[in-house]
Amino acid sequence: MLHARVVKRLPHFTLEAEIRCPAGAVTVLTGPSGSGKSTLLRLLAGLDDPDEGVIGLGDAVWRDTAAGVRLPARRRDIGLVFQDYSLFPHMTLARNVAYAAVDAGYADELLALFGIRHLAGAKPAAMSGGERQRGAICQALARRPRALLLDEPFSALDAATRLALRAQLLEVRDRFGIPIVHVTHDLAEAAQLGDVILSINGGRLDPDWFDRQLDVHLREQGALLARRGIDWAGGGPEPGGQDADGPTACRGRERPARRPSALPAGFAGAPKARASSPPEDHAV
Amino acid sequence: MIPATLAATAADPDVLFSIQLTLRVMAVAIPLLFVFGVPLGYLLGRGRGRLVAVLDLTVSLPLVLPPMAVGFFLLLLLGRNGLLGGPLGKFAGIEIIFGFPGLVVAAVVSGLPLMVRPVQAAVRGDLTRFVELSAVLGKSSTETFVRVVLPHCRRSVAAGMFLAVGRALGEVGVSLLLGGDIIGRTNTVSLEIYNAVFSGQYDRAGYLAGLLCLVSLALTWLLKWTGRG
Repeated sequence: MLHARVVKRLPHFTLEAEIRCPAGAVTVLTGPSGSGKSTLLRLLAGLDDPDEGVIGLGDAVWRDTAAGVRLPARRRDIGLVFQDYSLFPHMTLARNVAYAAVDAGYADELLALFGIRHLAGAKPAAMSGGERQRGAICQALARRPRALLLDEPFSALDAATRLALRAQLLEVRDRFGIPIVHVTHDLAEAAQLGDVILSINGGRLDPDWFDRQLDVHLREQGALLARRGIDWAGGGPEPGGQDADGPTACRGRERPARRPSALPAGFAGAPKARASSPPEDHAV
Repeated sequence: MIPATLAATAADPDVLFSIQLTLRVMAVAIPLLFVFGVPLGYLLGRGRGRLVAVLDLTVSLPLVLPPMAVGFFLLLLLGRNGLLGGPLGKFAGIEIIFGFPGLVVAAVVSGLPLMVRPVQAAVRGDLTRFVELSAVLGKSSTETFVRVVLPHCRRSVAAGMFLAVGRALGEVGVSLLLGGDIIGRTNTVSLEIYNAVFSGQYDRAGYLAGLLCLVSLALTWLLKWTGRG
């Protein structure tokens, strides 16, 4: 379980949040632009420092402002994927992944797993956006991280590639069983990926923001479909509906059951490392 | 200039000495420009605070101050009774002014701002993300610098080096005050052109000036080639 209770004073507002991100689950941080979700991710990664608070993984404490504990980013054993700049442009894909890898064989294994082994000798500039982000995930996983952090990694991709990569990320979740924190402002992405969905608005957790936005989004989609004469049978969540259990312990929104995901070609033979049931520490 | 005169000038031991001296000065100054210029550019490009601002201004001074003034202040600092030169001479037996070390200092000081600026510009922007990424991937600052920062700004380093070498080769004012223009000891090519003109040896001045122009043109071509990459 990756956990954080942080206060960070920013120029326009104060980020104040307490989150818990279970292992083997995707915790989505969503919210409007400039709400503090990427800052929170940077605090988890150790790239920014909180003014107050505690950040840790399991029993390990990465940052405790009161106790003066501060583990630098390079010792936190995490993988990080940015929207851009996730692969070093002067290295080939193989060297990018090997840069972080604990052993060369593992780097090769990851490339094969993500179906991009044939691009091993290519530089990022010669790869498509989707291939680059697959490579970036390989690089992030190459050091066998204890947590994976993703900052809007799919937002610059086309719809089809985004869908394929979302499916691969769910496979990563099931295969590696580590906490995954995924920042996105894309509601559909949040809904598809999030085992736990945490909304941040104006620097604070806003448990209802996601449902409110989803409500607006679904009404817009419904109106659009109606205008085109398409009958929307529904079947999904009722717009504006609340979880029966109400806000969870970390004031998030937890997906009740994991749904199957389409196996992309790169994962065709990949054994599943864990069952699809929620992890024990998923007590949020 | 007729070929016979050109050949005679080229074979002149004094001319050969000034060319060899300049090459020796550059052979020491170029590694020093790299060793000081790249980390300094990195620090000034990424650092913040008053100390960095003061350092930035200090490095830029040789660009804006008259070379004679820079040379004079360095003479006061590095002279036998200077703040730095005094202890260096007394305790380490190192004398900087009016010798080879003075010429090297002159070349480095005059070339440093031009070496630093391109690196400083290159390490701003995108590089921040790559440095952060490298840190998250478990790499130390040194490893990140060698494996990420240097390759990322290699073109800027090369461009800065060409500009700095061009400037250092043509440097007269600081070299004159720190080196003393002692014939057969500290008369670099630039100073030898000055000496030749004042002693009416226009063939010698023309030959050496042409040589410097050729080197400068070659450096300009290299600079353009670097930018094209």
